[in-house]
Amino acid sequence: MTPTTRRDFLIRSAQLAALAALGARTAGAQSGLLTALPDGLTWQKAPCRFCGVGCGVLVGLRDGRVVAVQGDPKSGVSRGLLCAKGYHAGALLYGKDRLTHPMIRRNGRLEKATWDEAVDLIADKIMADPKRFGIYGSGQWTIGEGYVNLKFAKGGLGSNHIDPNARLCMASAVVGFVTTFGVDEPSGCYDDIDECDTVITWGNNWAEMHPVLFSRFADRKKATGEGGPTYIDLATRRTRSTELADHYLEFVPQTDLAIANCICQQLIARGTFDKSFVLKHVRFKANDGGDLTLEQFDAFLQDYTPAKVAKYSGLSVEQLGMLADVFGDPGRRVLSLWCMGMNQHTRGTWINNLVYNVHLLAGKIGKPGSTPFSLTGQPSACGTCREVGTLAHALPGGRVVTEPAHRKECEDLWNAIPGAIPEKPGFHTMAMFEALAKGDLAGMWVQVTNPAQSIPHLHKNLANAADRFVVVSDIYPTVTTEIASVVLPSAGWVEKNGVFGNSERRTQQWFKMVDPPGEARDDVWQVLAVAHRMYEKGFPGLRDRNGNFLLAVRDDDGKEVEAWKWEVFDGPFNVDRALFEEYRGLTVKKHKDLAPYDEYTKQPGMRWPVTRDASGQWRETKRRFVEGEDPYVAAGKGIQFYGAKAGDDRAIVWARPYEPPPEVPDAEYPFWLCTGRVLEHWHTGTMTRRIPQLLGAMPRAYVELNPKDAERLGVLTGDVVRVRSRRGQIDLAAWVDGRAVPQEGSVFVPFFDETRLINRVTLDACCPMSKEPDYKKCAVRLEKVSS
Amino acid sequence: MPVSSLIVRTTAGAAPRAAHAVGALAGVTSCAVDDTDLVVITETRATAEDEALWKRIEQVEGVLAVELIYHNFEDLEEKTQ
Repeated sequence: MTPTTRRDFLIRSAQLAALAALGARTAGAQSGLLTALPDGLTWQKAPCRFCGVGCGVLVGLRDGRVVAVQGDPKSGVSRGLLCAKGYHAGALLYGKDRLTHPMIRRNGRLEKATWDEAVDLIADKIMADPKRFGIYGSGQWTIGEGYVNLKFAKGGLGSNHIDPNARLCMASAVVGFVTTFGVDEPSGCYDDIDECDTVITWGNNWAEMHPVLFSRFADRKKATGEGGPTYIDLATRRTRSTELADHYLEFVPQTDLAIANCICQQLIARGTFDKSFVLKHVRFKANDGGDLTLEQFDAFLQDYTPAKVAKYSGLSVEQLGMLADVFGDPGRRVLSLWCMGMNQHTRGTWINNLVYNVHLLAGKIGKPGSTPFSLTGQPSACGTCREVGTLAHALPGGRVVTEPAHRKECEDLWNAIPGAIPEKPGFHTMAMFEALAKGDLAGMWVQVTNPAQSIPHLHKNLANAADRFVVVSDIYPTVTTEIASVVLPSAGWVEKNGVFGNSERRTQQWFKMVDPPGEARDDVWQVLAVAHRMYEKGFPGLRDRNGNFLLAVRDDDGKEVEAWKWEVFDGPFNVDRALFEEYRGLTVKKHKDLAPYDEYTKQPGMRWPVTRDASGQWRETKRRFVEGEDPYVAAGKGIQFYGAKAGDDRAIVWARPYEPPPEVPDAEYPFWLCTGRVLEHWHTGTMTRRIPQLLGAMPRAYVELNPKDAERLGVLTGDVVRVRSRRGQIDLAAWVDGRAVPQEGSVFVPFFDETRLINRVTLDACCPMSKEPDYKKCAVRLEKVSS
Repeated sequence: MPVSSLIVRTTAGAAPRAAHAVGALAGVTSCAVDDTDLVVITETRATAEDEALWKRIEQVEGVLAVELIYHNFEDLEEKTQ
């Protein structure tokens, strides 16, 4: 076909894209075909805006607009594939109700304001009580956004009251990593999906939550057929993921703790644990931190024999034995995957520890295809929250505020007044909202997140928020902007420069491609503008040791750039690059080294630690702690858990017991309630509900019932059912025998729908170590309202 | 006038028959690449129609999965290049 019209060009381009994607996946090649598509568009790379997988997107531009999207075949993450959300990512920018100008609430109503008015008001309010002002951010913050907010709060305001919504999704994973390995983030990577013999998902519906990774495994499983990799779905609910599973093991909520211990008990009892690995690389600890011997640990496990655990876990002795068979097979490469099912758990830290226990005892870590792998839900929960350290207790590069040396290193780099950073951790997310409700916080700046929909037990935790000084930066109106005192319109995704860090330690950069609408501006600029206004007004915390602006952005020659002026920020100087280069200096201490910004502009991304090899090339690390892969592992060590706090290079196997959840079904509230996401929508739906295809495919939240429960209650699909807990209630349409089937005695409700707020019902009990709430388990009753 | 391409996965050996059935849908051209994969091009009048069309493809006998690869949603006027 010789293209003659624009339409012909696009059809030809579409064909080439599909063929290239097929080629990239079937041959494992990285075709360069797509960058030269003859469709007359300009194509640029970016990571996807949505989940933590970090798929590579090629964004097609024409006349200053995003008009096309395709998967990037050069992406080592997604190899040309995207999920339904990713393909519609371009449309997230073009909802009809984008916020386009600042608004200030006057006489109860949000009224249009100028940027100058808004910046001045926010500066005055913060200066009035800086220690009682919090910043609530996001795993969707770019690295630059997170870094500038952290420096503003901890270095400038002298306040550690900054925490991200990632507290709600991966805090248990962080504390799990740190308590077991001494440092945060996974040792393995997505390549392990291509090399494992068995995948076990622990309460994770990756077909809908991480669909491109699921497709990567499904493709391989399909291609290899019998004798290929097997899949065990360990879950409380049959989902789309279950359709691919060789074994579906349905457990009673919370008993994952006992199941993991039971696997360990069998490995030791059978003698099938990896003795040499354990002797060299592991030590044992009691729940209170005291040291244990292997024999003492084995004694602890005697409460978790298959016969005992089978009585309350929902798994049979045979199923529990099968799990021990898998981990006890020395030749079998086993990949464990999990996400919110384990993290949003009143013992989220413990269950993370326990899955590490299983892999450590089996010696299934640090080998291609064998690793425990914690997935994340947001695009930069790892890059921004965990690595930059935008948590109430943290500082960049794995540092913590409680360590004097860590505070000094940051203060020195920033040239901040010595002692500027307080040593006491600030309010974590749940405490922050409690403080706002009580008045212990006078105000809060919410950026890139929607807490009035996502915080559990909304009646309690959002009480009085509308009476405080709440600033909300977002791209669309949300239920949170409804309670805001000031609303700031933000630039979204490719309307600004950015860097994200995904679940496998991969750092990915993109350039601004299109202008934001109206007066919308970058969140980085918003913070710089407010901070500089405070500096101009004489706020001492924003002066460095020489009296200069603490958040000064400097060029490569060290000359200050007036980045707080929008016309400068929006000009040719790349503020994101300058912030990244400043932050990069803090990443080396804990071996989270990043390459220079310019290296990330050349390729889809690199996994840290990134160091220069002998030839001067920047080299990524696929697997941490592994000799030959991780440059920080000493020669001859094989595996070296160099983050160990005891300095012995050993990971810790913890004796963590089973503990029942704080609320269980009873005669009054006889059902478990589990909440979560669906394929079409992402988190609170702020973006995906503006995309007609996604909204059309999944317009409203629902309550999903087991068919036996539905029959007993006389409920059919479409009937309206009231879901009531001790905290609140909502009415939802029932869905029976739909996309997924919860176990008998339980229901599932997605949380994307702002017109049906399930968090009026959920419990806000948290893991006491990570402070992450459990959205997966509380007790409800169901009442049929109408047919 | 959105233009999209999809890779359609079928059960083993079903691709040729599925290609025929998918290609019979309005606004769709398709060809089998091998015995399990089709490349499919869809053209619709508005983005709102895309999802319904892709769901119809999902329902064709032998189809296991539909994966969207390329999606152009610019306001397309027929312009000679």
